[in-house]
Amino acid sequence: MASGAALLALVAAAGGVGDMASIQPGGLEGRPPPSEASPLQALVDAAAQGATVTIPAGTYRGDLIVDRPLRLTGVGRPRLVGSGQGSVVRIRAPDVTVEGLDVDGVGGGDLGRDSSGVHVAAPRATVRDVRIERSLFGVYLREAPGAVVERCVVHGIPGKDAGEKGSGIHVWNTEGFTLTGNDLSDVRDGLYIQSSSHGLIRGNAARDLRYGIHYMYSDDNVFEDNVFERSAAGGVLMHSRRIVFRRNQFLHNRGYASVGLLFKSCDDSLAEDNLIADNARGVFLEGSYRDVLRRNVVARSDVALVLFDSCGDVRVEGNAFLGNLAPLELVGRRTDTRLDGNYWSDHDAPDLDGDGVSDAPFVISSLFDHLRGNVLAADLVAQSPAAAALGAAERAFPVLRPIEAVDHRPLARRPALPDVPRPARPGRGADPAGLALALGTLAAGVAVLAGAGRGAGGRA
Amino acid sequence: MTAPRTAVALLVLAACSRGPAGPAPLDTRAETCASCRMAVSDARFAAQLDAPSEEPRFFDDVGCLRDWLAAHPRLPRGAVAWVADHRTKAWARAARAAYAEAPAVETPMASHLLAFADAASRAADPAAAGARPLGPSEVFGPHGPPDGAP
Repeated sequence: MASGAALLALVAAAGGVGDMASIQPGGLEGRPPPSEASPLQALVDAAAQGATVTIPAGTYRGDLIVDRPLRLTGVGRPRLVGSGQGSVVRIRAPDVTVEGLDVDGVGGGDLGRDSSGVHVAAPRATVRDVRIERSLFGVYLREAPGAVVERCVVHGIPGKDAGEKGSGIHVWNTEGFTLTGNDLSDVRDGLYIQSSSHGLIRGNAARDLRYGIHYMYSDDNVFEDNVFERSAAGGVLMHSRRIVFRRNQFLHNRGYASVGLLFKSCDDSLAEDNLIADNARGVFLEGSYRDVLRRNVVARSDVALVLFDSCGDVRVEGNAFLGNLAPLELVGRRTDTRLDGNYWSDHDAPDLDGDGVSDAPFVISSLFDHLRGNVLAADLVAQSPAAAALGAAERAFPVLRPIEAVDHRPLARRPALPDVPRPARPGRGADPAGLALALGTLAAGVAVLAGAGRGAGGRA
Repeated sequence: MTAPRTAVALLVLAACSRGPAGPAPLDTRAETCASCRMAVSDARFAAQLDAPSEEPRFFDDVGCLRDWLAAHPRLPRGAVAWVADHRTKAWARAARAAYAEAPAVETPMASHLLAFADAASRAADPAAAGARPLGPSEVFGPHGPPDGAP
């Protein structure tokens, strides 16, 4: 008997050690231990359901759980400084409102536990006019149907890589959310929406981060009147359907392989009246079906439209493509995308009958498109003057069979659409390394064309 | 009477000491990375960590598995890390896998780390051409990823 008990004790000891069990997948942060709790906890715990709890100005250190319906209102912008061990404010009851607070996450916590400035895991919460800084996630909506986040400011943790910090507003498994008038910077993605439907996102600004807005597996969503700028990508719409977005601005996304607006496996969506300007690539579509882009401005990009042959039945209608280095990059060997009734600033055919439509279709192709579509390394020169030189040379001496796309009814005049705003930051000076690369690439391009021209002449 | 109890205890001990039976299937629409909390949407870059009596933890990027292990050095006995072969998407034990650092390949969290069941699979993947070959200890540190050992 004694030996059996000893063995069972041994079994218990062997069963597991370490801290992994304390952070089980799917686990939720609960009540902070007394050593990490905010002095406001007693105030919350004493409040009746549905009460308004007023927090006077001051600094309060520690984390707070709100586990009953109430309204938590800051007067004079009280400052809640977290313990650094987890989320600063944890909403765990329905119908909670939190407003008028400053929240400091002190750069602590654990991404895997959703450590946030305000973490919501209950229905119908409102987070309003809360300023959050130094928090891994700003506001995290986790299975929080009907949540509203409005007029909040999230300034994340400067100096960390994207993989080391979370989203400004992170929405997961949440039906019917509303995000309006928020300002987000220095986080991984400004607005990250996963497995969440019927959301409305309006009037937010996201800048200096990875992706401004990022949908994953989220159908039937709307976003309008937002500004996404100076990031790796303005908008990234992936594995989602029926996303409708209007009057947004995707601006100044200028890093290597940056993009204003990206569709990947995003179907049946509608983009209209958006301004997509000063991006390395304007709009990028891969593996997407039945999307419609209409009345958008795509301007001042190295490539206006990148289109993979894995797309189907996409319609690009009534847009204005202005001052782009290249209008189109086709990746693959075919496209059934319909280009119709767009304005192309580099199409110079006349409109002699004055019907507003150019008298000749716009055939869109260039050597540089061909290179970019088939030679990955050509991306390296996407932002160089050499690309323009290659395009001009190809038009003068066509040597490769291009992949063509045609707009049969190009607009003769630019439609009345908004101008492209200038970047807010100071202008960039000439980069000596970039200049050297451009000149080198230009020389290489001339040599390639010269060699190809000789080859073509030999075959003639 | 003592012998049967001892046998039962030994059986229980053996059962608890073994690692998980094998990697769990990945549902790309449902799983969220245990480290960065983003969707594990691309099986080519996925990883997972299994421990006896625990739900599997999935990762969307080998770099996320690496970072999570670095932040959680104390693991339950029997924990095993798995990585998806970038070429075949089949699971391989992370401690025995071959890796490549491929700056030209965009991984979900920009680690640029690709995993393969073995060096032959790595050699057969065009994405690893020109990439820097790595072993488990170069990715995860001198002790490598957990592989069920105590």
